[in-house]
Amino acid sequence: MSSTPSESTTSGHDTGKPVGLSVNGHDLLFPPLPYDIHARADKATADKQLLDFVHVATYRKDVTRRQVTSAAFGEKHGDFRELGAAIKQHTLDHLDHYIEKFVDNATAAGVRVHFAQDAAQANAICLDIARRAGAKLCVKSKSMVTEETQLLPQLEAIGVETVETDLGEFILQLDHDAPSHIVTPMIHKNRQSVARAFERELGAPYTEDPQELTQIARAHLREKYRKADLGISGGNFLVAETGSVVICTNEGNGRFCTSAPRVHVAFVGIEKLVPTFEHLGVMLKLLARTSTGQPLTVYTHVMTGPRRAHEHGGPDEMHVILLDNGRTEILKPETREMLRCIRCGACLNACPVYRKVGGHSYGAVYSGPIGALITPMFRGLANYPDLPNASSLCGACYEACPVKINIPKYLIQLRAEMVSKRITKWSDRLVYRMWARSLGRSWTYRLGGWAQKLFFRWQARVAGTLELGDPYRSRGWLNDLPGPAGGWTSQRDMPTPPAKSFRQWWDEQNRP
Amino acid sequence: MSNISDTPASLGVDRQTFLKPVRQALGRISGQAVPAPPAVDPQLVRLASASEDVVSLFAQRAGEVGMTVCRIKSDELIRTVSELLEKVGAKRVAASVGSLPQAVSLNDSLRRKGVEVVDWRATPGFAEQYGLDAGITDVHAALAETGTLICSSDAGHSRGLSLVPPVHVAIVRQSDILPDMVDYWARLRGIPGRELPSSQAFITGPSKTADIEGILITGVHGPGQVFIVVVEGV
Amino acid sequence: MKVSLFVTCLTDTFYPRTGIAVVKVLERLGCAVDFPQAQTCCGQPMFNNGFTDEARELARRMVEVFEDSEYVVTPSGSCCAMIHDYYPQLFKDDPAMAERARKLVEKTYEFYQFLLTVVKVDLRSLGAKWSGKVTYHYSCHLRGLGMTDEAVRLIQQIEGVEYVPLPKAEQCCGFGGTFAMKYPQISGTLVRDKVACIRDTRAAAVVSNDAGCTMNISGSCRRENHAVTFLSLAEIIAESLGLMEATAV
Repeated sequence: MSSTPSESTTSGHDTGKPVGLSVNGHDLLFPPLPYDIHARADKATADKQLLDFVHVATYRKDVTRRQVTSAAFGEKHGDFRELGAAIKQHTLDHLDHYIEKFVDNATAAGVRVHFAQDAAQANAICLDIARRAGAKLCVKSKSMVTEETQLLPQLEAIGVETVETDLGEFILQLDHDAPSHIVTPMIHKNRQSVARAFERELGAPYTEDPQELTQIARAHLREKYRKADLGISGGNFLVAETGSVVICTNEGNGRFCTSAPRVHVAFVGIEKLVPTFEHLGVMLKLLARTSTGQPLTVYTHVMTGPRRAHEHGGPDEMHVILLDNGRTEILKPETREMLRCIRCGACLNACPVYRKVGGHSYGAVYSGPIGALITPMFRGLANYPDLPNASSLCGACYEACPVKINIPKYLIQLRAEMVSKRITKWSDRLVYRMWARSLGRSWTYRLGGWAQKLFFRWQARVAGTLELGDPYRSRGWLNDLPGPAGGWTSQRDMPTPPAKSFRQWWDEQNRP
Repeated sequence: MSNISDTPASLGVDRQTFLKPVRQALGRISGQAVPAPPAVDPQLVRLASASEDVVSLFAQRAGEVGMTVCRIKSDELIRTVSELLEKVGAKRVAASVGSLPQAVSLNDSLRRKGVEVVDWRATPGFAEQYGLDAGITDVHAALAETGTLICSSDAGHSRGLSLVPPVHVAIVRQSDILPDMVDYWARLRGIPGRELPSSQAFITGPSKTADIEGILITGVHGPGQVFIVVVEGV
Repeated sequence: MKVSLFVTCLTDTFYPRTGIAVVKVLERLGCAVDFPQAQTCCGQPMFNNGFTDEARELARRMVEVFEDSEYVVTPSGSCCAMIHDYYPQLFKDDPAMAERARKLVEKTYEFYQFLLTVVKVDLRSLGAKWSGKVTYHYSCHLRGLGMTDEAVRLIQQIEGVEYVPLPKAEQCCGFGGTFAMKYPQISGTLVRDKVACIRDTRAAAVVSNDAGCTMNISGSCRRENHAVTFLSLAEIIAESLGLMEATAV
């Protein structure tokens, strides 16, 4: 297991072993199931470099998001989010209609639309297109959906060299690593690991200067664009009214991948639809500011069909692969709201847990708070029992979400589903039911509080930490509790109750 | 190599099979009516209005995202562009500025100064453009609120000139500048029967990345420098 | 004004002085305070862990216990948010009960929310005085209630308080109920981050308004050897008004 960058960046260089080859990107996102978060999370929280990188970067992005959205939207911010949420919700509520509209309009514009119910179908369609095009070299821009379908190894297997062109994804591919953030995929890596990967894989002179590293990648990838006969992209939005595919990128690789090769294939999940350009405009205004703090991404590329006869440049063939792959399961009324997500990454940046454990700890393509919702939906709740639970429910994600997905509410809903489906351990179910029962009557509640106080204070007396003085304030401290409470005392001390409870005070006042 | 039109049935499923679980999840039947989508109230969505000095706002916002803006009069255009190219040391350029009256004289004037002006139409795709030092384009519109250039593809405009060369010089007429994106959609809608271009690129800054340690680098795949020449009064 | 105190189970057992302070401050402000003895827990631990049926029964009990109250005030953002955010939804299949739950929501206030929006208190005019350097921990559940800077405004109304903002204030302390025990490393890393921020303020006292956060952060301060006093907002206000003995810091 190598979810953290230290392994991929420090181990190999000293031993002479190629750095990063020990990291298998596939295993990071597709671990053996059921997946237990503890091992990776514990390792990540102990990794100072990961904390330095991920924590600092996400915190900075979160601050930027707040500054930029408040400067741009001001008083209107709440209404903007409401509108963004309403647009996505309306489209999802009538998704069949908008899919039909999109397909009709895209087809009229010359796009070949394909329908894939699962990853295997999506990949098969793409491989078929690649074969027919006689493709030898594929340039690919960032797409979470192709991570989901694990497309790349399959293209490589039929002899199509496939190059990730987003700088971060390119580096991850060279280093056999996997993305850990839906917007900034290599947030967990440092420049040294990039330098070594470029030296090892590209034969480039070793440099740690980000500007020089970027230029090395630029030169390398330009040659790929020049020769590529297949371009693959994702899609941030699909516009039903016009049949357009929209991608939002900053580097320009997205435009290259969708314009330079003769054939362009876009992999897009069905939840990406919006009704019209006007609705697209609202989503664009929200997306970049929430995601990276930019007014718009540098390149917002609206593509409506392949190259027209009179145009120069652009693909001769444009394909859109519409993907279900579990989305219609989430589309049910109880969970539909989750599909509003526009993958801005704001919830990851705002999440205290993500900041401390990094994306690979989630053991899935989609990490962070939104990943904790949709991963169990996509891949089975019983396979990811920790994801809905490893959250303090602090609500920072909900506050950050530009389309107002009530993430804490749905985390609790998934927890309830775990209880009702008995995925929750029987011992936990017993404890909570007993606890609830004792809270259900005044006398058992009092008895429970009294017993807890007695036990804690006795322990503290034994430990010699019990302070005496104000009966409503002075307390003792415990640092080694048994059972599940040991999780508490492994990290911090546990205060004991003071000698007397509030109720005792109230009674002593002879109040009614 | 096959053409798109003669590819056989896709390896996925057909449209109605695909839509079945969608309708099931929604509890909808095929062809069931759909209420109007949420109204996009321009009052709410508009973040810049025509009452502002849109040229100044555009110049300011474009500057904020890292593009270099200068404002000139119409008769200064050729001199300004030549000077910009000289400044960046561009020897080989291509232009698609068909919407400007100065298009022909600009090319001639650049050639007289010893700049090679390449005809990008001569070869398909981007082949001719990889070796260029700069691409010169007009724009289909510009958005003041975000400092955005909109470059669309058509017979006179390649997708590449604002992307492939390391320097992009964009010539923006004052009349191209719209206050807000809502105005662009309104304008697009106001052209009935117009076929959409295959590519509309909204460009807001030079090519950028912050993938390596969050450090901002320009000129990753697209141009590292974008110069905007705003021609006032036209 | 008649106010029923919902003291919450953690405050009752672990922070009784906070409950006492709430009573004293409310009475000082002219409220008649009662304490319905049948109250127990709002059901949040059950609800948050997916035990919806159990939570519903505890919610029903709460609705019944406080049915006749004019106002319900609680010194816990988290329990208040439980009532506000989830009670009506718990009874979505029982319209009559849902309506009764909504009535409870309407009259339930977090302690300082009540001070600011119902009593509209101005501590300056009451001559509040308290001497020392203080920082404030924002508990996450107040975010759900739409409360952000209000507590700080109250603290700043107290003469003699030197208020220092807590860096990274909006980041969760890592309590999260049973989360702290089930995912100790994650929770522990978060609370140590919080302690480091508190240390940076050099404040002598931390005002923290949720018993759970206080247990977590104070326990970590003790483990990390950072000596600092913890007070609830009710306590510092009660002390500043001379209703309780001032804590020496």
